[in-house]
Amino acid sequence: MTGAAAKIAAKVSLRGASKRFETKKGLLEALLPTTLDIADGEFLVFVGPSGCGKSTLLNLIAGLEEPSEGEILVDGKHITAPGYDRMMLFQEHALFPWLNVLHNIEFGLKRKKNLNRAERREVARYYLSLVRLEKFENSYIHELSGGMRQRVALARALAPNPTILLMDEPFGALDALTRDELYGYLQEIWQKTKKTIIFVTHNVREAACLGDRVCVFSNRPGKIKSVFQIKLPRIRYINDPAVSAEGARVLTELKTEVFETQEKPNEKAVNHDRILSLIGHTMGDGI
Amino acid sequence: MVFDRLNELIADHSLPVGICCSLKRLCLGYAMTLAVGFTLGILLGWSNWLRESVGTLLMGFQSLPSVAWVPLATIWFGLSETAIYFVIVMSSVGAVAMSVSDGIHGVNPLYLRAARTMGVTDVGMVTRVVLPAAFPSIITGLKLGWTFGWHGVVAAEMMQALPGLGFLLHMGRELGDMSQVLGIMFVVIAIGFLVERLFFGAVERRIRERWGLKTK
Repeated sequence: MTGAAAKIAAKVSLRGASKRFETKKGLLEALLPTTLDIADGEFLVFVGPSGCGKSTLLNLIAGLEEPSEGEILVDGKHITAPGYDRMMLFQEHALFPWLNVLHNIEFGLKRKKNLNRAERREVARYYLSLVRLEKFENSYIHELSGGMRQRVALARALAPNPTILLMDEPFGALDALTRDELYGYLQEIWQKTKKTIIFVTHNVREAACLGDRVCVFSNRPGKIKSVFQIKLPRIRYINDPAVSAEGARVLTELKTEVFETQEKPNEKAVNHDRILSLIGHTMGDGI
Repeated sequence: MVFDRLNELIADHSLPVGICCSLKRLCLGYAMTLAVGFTLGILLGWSNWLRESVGTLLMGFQSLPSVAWVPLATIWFGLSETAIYFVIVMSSVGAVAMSVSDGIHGVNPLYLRAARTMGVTDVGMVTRVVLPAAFPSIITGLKLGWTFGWHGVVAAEMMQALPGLGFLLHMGRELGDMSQVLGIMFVVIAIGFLVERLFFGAVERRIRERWGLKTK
């Protein structure tokens, strides 16, 4: 499901959006002016080394921060603050420990004035069943595993029915098996609900598995270096050789970026033999 | 002997009256402490520089035992109920304010970010996110405040002529009646223990249930 060329008006439009932070060490350029159009219903992935500004860009689209320059348009309108239409998922689940699972999902629904209590409950239950955790509606967060918590976080983000889902390395803290399972869930839910998803990761295979388009970021200060189209059929599995091949394409691009611009250690200045003579070759060397 | 004396005091109504008066004063005084303590705590929690200046002062306050407030209370308010309320509030407000402030300061900023993406208003942020998130820390201070308040009531009543447990304790001393002294001490301890177990204990258990073993 690409749709990028088919739609005329972009869902999200970045026009020269950049972000600078004032720190004690002076002005930090986190994101260089970026221009990008994101289509409705597209699954877009941002990939890049740590600190390259991809999470900053996500925060700008979410409305949690304002761009230093340029503008961000959603459905043709300027955004100034977080809103229902853009919900965000974080690496740490950010679920509230003082509420049970169902109340957590209902949390974002309180603002919808047209729903009464019973209706909120119904909506929450529906999304809970979508992530297949109906049996846990009265459990508290500490009783769930990492993967389950992220599924609940997904249900919470989906419940207010946003058109855009922003996901900031949501599977980063999970083990490989759980991640595999969640890739399937996420694609299923995306196909069912047809949301626009903007996903940030540093894992290239994950990017190739999930994204219609993958944007590779450069090192800090960040900007989008290249964009890959992944034209594989859905639903994709992480162990599919075709996915690996696409991931390898992206990785090559990423590697040149990371290694080219990284500082190389000064080989002459480090005398490994001398260090070894100081600390000994093994632990038992008479220290 | 102690129990006989206690029975006598119950019979002539001075013990029940004493308990009621002391508890009533503590409840009212504690309510005042909560009002002042929460307001102060929220202000300190939000503002870093306030917390560093006024907060440190408040910490110093806590090193003053409840009894030490009695002379000041007597000078300012004489032998009156007001003096007793003054002692209660001054001994307990520090603990409440500090725990509210620390609790608020310690809230994981991730909760605030998540809440903002769900469109929570500023007031809603405080009531629906910050205070519940800070509650495990706050409850510790609430319990401490209650204990200090209880100390304060008994201490203040000892200097007054108004009915109360402190007064009965004082009378016991005046009359050289050890059974009365020990009996009242037992009552004071028993009430403190009961409130802590039944009320605060239940609240803390509920928190453990919800939050898991990560309660502060």
